Amino acid sequence: MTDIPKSRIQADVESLAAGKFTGEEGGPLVSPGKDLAAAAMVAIIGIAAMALSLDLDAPASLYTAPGLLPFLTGLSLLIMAAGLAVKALKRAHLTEILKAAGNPIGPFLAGVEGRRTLVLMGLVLAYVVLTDLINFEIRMPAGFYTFRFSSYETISIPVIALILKMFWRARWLACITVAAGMVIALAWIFRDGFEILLPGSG
Amino acid sequence: MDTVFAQLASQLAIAFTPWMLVVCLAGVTLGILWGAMPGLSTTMAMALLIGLSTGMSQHVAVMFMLGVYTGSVFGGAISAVLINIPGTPDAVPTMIEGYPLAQRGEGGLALGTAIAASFLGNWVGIFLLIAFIPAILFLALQFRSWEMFLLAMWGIAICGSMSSGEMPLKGWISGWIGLLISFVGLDAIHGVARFTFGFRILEDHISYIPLLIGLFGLTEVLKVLPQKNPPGIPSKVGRVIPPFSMLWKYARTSLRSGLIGTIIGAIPGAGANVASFLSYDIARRRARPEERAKWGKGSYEAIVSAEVANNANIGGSMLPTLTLGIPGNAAAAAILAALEMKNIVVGPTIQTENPGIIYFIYIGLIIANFLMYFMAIGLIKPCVKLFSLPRTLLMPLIIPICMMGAFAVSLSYFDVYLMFIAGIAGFILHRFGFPLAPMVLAVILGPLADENLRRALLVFEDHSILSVLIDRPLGTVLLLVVLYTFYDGIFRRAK
Repeated sequence: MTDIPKSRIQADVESLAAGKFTGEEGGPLVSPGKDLAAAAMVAIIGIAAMALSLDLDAPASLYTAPGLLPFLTGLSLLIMAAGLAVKALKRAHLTEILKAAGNPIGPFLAGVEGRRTLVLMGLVLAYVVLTDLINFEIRMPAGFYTFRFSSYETISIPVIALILKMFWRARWLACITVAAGMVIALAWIFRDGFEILLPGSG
Repeated sequence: MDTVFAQLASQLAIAFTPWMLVVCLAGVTLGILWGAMPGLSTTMAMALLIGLSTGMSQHVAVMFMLGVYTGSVFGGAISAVLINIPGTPDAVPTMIEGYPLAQRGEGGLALGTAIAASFLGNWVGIFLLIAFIPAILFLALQFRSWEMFLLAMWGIAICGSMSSGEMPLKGWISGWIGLLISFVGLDAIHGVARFTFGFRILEDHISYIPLLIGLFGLTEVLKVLPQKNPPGIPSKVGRVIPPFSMLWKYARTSLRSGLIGTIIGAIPGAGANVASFLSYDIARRRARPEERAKWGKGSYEAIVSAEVANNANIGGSMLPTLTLGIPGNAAAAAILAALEMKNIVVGPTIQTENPGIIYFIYIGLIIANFLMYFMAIGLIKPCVKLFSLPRTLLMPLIIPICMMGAFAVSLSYFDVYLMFIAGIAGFILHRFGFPLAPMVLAVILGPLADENLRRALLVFEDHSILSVLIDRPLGTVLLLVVLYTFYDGIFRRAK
C-alpha cells in the first residue's frame, strides 16, 4: 500500500523511530557500487568543467575571468567525487563492488518496474517530439464563442490515453474518455481562461 | 510611517476584493486536494502551477500561489490519518500517530487536531515572518559583493546538507552541478559565451523554471507511475471538529513546534519535512512519561507537534526568499519564480523596488490561513472519495501539465525539451540517492555567486587576506558559517 515510493516512507518511519536525521529529501542509502559509479561520473563532469573553463577567454584580469568560478566549481566537484568514492570504498571493498556490479543497468531492466519506467520515458519523449514537429490550430467561430482545436490536443489525447491504458489498465473507451476530458479541460483553462499559448498551436 | 500605512491600506484594498478572495479560495482548495493525494507533493503542485500563473496579473498570481502553498502543506495530513499513506512526505509523523487513532474511530478528532494545529502553525510562521523581515532586510542592505557571494554559497551548501541527511556530500554535488548549469550562457561581466558549445539558444542561459517543473513534476511521475499501487481504503472519518482546547493542553509543544518550524523554514533547503520530523522528535523526548507511552500508537500531542511545525515552515521559508532572494525550500523557489515572472525583484531591495508587495504577501498568507481552516473541514469528505482513485489514473494527467507549464514560461519549445531532460536527469539522480532541491537552488543562486565573487576579487585586488577579514566583519562571519557548514557535513554528520 505505497504511493510515495515505499522505501521513502519506510526509511522515514524508521529514521523517526531511531531519532535519526535523514534530510529533506530523505530516502535510504544506495549501494556502494552505485556510489562508486556516481563518483566516476561526477569526476568526469568536474574534469570537463575545468577543461572548458580553461578554454574560455579572459578579457581582463584573472579576477574577473569568466572561467574562474566554473573552474573552481569543477575542481571542487572533482574533490567531492573523490570523497564519495572513498566513502563507497569504506562501506565495501572494491573487489566486492566489482563482483556485485556486472551490468550496471541489468537489475533495473530485469524488474517489471524498470521496464515500465523505460517505456514511460520513451512515450513522454515521443509526446514532446511530436508536439514540437506538428503544429496547427483549427478555429470554428460559433456565435459568441470560437472553438479552437490544435495539434496539442490532437497529440495529447492519444498519447495520454495510451499511457493510461498501459498503467491504469482500464478499457480503451474509459482511457480515451478520461484523456480527452482532461486534455480538453486543461487546454481550455490555459488557452481561454488565462490566455496562455499552448505548445504546438502557434 | 505614513507611507507604511498608505501601502498597507492600498494592499488591503487589493487583497480584499471578491475576485482575489475567490482566487485564494481556488488556490487553497486545489492545494488541499493536491496535498491529500498520495504522491502529489507540495513542491510538485507549486512547480506545475508556475505555468498557470503566467496568465495571471501580479497580485492574482501571488495570491494564488500562496493559497496553493498553504493548502497543500495541510492536505498531506488527510491521507496520512485516513489511509495510512502520507499525502506529502512531511505528513509521515501525522501518519504514524493519526492512523492508529482513525482505526480506533477517532479519525475525526485526529484530523480536527491536525487542522487546528496547522491553523496555529501558520499564525506562528506569519507572526515571526512579519517580526523578522525588517531586521533581516536591514542586515541584507549592509551586504556588498563579497558578502553576497558568501551568502549564495552558504545557501547552496546548507541546502545540500539539509536535503540529504546522512550524505551531505551528495547534496553538495547536486548543488555544484546546479552551479555548472547556471554558468551556461553569456557571462554578465564580459559577455563571453560559457559552456554553450556553439548553440545560440544556450547564450540566453538555462531558465530554472523548466528545471523545477522537470525535477519535481516529471521526475515524480517517472518515480511513482510504474509502481503497482492499489488505492488505499479510507478509515471512517466521523465528525471533524478542530479542538482548540487540545492546543491549549499542549500549549508548550505548540509554541516550541511553531518556533522550530519557522526557524527550519528560514534555512535554505530545510523544508516542511525536516521541520515536522525534528519537531516530532524533540516533542517525543520532552513529553511527559504518560504521554510518551502513547507515542507511535496514536498521540494527539505528536500530531500537534508535527502539524504546527510543518505549517509554521511556510512563513519561515518566505523569510530568506523575500529578503535575500534565497528560497527557503523548493516550494519557495516556485514562489520566487512566480514573483520574478511578474517582475517582482526579491532580495534586499524588495521594499524600494516593489513598494507594498511584502504587505500583500502578509495579507495573502493570513487570508489563505483562514480559508485553509474552513476548507479543510469542508473538504475532508470529498478527499475520502478521491482516495479511491488509483494513482495510475492521476499521474499520467500530470504529464501534459508539465509540458504546458514549461512552454508557458517563455513560449519556447527549448524549455519543453529542457523540462524533459531535467525529468530524466532527476529520475537518474534520485536512483543514485542525490537530492534535487540543491540543484534548483544552485541554478537560481549561481549567477549571483559568480558576478559577486568576481566583483569582490577586483575590489580586493590590492588588499591582503588579513585586511579583508578584518575590514569586512560581516563577510568574515559568513565565511566562518560556510566553513562550519562544510565541517559539520564532513566530520560531525558522518559520525
